[in-house]
Amino acid sequence: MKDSEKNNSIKKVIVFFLIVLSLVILPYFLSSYRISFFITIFMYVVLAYSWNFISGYTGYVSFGQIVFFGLGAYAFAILTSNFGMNWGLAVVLAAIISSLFAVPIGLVMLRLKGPYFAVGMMGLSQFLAAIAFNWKSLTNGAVGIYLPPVFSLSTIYYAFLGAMIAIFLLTWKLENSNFGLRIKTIKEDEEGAEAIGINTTFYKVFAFTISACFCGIAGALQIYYLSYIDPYVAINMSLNLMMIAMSLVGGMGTMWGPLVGALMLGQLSEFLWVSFPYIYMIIFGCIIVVIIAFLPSGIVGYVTQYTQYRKDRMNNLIKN
Amino acid sequence: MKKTIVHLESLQKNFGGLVAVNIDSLDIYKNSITGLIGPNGAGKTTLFNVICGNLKPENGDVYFLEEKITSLKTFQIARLGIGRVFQISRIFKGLSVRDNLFLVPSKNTNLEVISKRIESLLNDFGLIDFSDNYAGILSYGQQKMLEFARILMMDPKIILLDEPFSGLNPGEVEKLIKIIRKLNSETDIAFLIIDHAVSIVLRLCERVVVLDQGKIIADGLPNEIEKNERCIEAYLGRPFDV
Amino acid sequence: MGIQVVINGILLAGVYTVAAVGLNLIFGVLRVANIAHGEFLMLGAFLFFSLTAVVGISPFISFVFVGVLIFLLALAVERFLVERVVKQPMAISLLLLYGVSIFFKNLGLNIWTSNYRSINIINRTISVGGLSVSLIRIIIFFIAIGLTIGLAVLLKKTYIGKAIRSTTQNPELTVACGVDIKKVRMFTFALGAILAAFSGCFFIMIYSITPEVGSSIILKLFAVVIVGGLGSYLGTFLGALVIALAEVLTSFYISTQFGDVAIFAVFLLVLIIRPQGFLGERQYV
Repeated sequence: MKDSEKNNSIKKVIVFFLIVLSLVILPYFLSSYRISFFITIFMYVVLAYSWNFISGYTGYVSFGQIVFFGLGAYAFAILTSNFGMNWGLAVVLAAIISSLFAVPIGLVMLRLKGPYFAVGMMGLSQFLAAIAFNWKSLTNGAVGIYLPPVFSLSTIYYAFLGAMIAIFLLTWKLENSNFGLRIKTIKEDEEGAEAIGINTTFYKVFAFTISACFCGIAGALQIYYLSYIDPYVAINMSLNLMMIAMSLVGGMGTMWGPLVGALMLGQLSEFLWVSFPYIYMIIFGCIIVVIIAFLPSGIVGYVTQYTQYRKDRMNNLIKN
Repeated sequence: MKKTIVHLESLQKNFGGLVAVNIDSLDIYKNSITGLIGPNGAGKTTLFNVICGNLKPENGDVYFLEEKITSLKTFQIARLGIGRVFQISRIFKGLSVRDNLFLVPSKNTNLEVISKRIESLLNDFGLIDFSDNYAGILSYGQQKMLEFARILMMDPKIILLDEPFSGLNPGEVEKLIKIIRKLNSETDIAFLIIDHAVSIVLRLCERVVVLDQGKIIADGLPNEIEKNERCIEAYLGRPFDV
Repeated sequence: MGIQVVINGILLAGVYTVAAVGLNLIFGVLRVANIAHGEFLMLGAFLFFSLTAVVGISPFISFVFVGVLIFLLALAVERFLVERVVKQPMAISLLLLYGVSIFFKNLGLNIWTSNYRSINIINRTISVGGLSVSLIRIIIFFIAIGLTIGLAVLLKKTYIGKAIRSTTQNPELTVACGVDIKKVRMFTFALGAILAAFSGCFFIMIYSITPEVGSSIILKLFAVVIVGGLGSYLGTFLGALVIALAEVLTSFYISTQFGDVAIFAVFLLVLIIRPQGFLGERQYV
């Protein structure tokens, strides 16, 4: 039993490395347009996994993780344009700033239950947008800040690839560790978890901070890519929606859900945005509604439940 | 001289204008099996909530082994050694049976020791065949067993049981009584048991505390309580004066 | 000048109250935070606009039409979508209604475009001792009060009203009494929705709005309900007063966008410090 398990693990690691390797080599074969496409997909994957990290695993559904995307975005813009910082350092600092904000915000907001937390986070993101509009000396308000254009798209590609691999591995670690098990108990039964000695506040805030950190990285990199920022770009409500939709469709609280969702919806949105912008959002609304109403655990969730159900049935049959 | 494990001092808990708990002093002794009974709304579960940190009292303090724990958080109190089994089974149904035990924080961090412990607990409680299944597929009785196993992972010094016998058939009731007695004699875990099945409590517990409207109205041996008029009144009401 | 602003604030509070009461009702019976509430408001406003300004029907008749249409629409939404998720954790229904709101908002943007619309029915202003207030706002305020009173009567005296109240307090017992709780849910959701829709009609008579109004107003409505306290209708009016006054005063003395900042600040503060609001019932928290 142990040997074949070991073989399986080795196989998985090899496959993983091969995929990463091909993604690393890919840019050499692609045109600028294609690289942009991948950059967008990678960003979607990062955002979907970030949202999933808090909302999928702890059950604290956030309607405003975009606030950290915005914080990271503005941090990056201000550091590079006002302080002339090198982009790499600025991204790292943006991540740190998002994380630092996440801790007090998390400590406060995660005391709220269900809809209060969700709507509270939404309110927070609108609050940040309002501040971004009004604090003109810092953010230039609605006019925005222009940054020097980027010449090498590959750099951004690799940065996003790195972020994507990182959050993917973190999610994998969550699924395969005791630490992660405890995070999952929060969604199952927070009070019950406390009763057996689990410090739920710590685990909640931890997951929230990781989520915020990666949203911040995505925000910073996005601004680097666009070379421009304004409150709409930074607190991008359609990205907010995308994050949620991707995890939902793929499967909240699963390892592969956000990836499946990001790939599917990412493709769909690239395909649709060519057409009328408002219709594309209507379709998204429909997708969310349909998935929640008929397939609430998402594609991956449904498949897992089904295979687990069959496994359990086999188990029971064998025993009897 | 009996050693005290949990001591309540001038404890008062209100809900709005209603006094739910009002206890001057109460000692629960180490390694004892104590019953806590009383009519509905007497404040029994509220008392548990206060002891475990889910509710904060208006007045008074809770002591655990001479340490004041009133202001501690629930998870800290749990880690100190106060285990609680709720009325409704609170196992994690979406996780495997083994994981339910595995994730319990314990002082020991040696993986092998923990794994061995889990194996032996699963064996003792008849759950070893279901180790890798979702806990949700267990029957109600088995879920209760799992809850017990899980609580024991915590190395508790006292276990608070809230209506542990509800929903169990007579065979399961006997089994649970055996387990409690066995644990009480083999380890030095104390038990504080709330249950509406007064007969079971009188049979199992060496001491019974009776609560009515938040106050202790009786405290003593089971056969004394059985005959205590105030207690009978509390449960059945006063007869009409014709 | 300041008093004028305060009066406008109070009148605006009336409008917010109507919509917020709807939100409160829905939460009480369905235990669902209706994030799509703003969209019902928007649909009410723009349907009213189309019927009155475009088709040319008299405002009173349009108002009734809007009520009927939104009622039916909301019934359908509840019956086919919301009903499927009422027994599940709140996160699920939240996400569902989020999807619904996205759908309706963009549908609205598609149909009515993002131009600002408004309806000018009565243009007169009333001047009393140096203060002038537009007549339409006063009329709307009284209609809003009328609606609230009408709702109170409905809740107290009619069968469905009692069913709603008892479901809010104790759903199991209500079912045990033989009430068809599914119908109660459908009715309540639709009732809440038309309150939002009527509020929308008022809105478009006072302000110029675009179909984006749903997203911007939903947070204000949540703020109203949370500040005032879930489950309390008087509290809702108080909450509406706080929010409306905060909004108009900051907008007037600082800037419109600051009005938004002020509201969100109040909202977040209340959420954090006293989630049950002024008169709310702790159990909901």
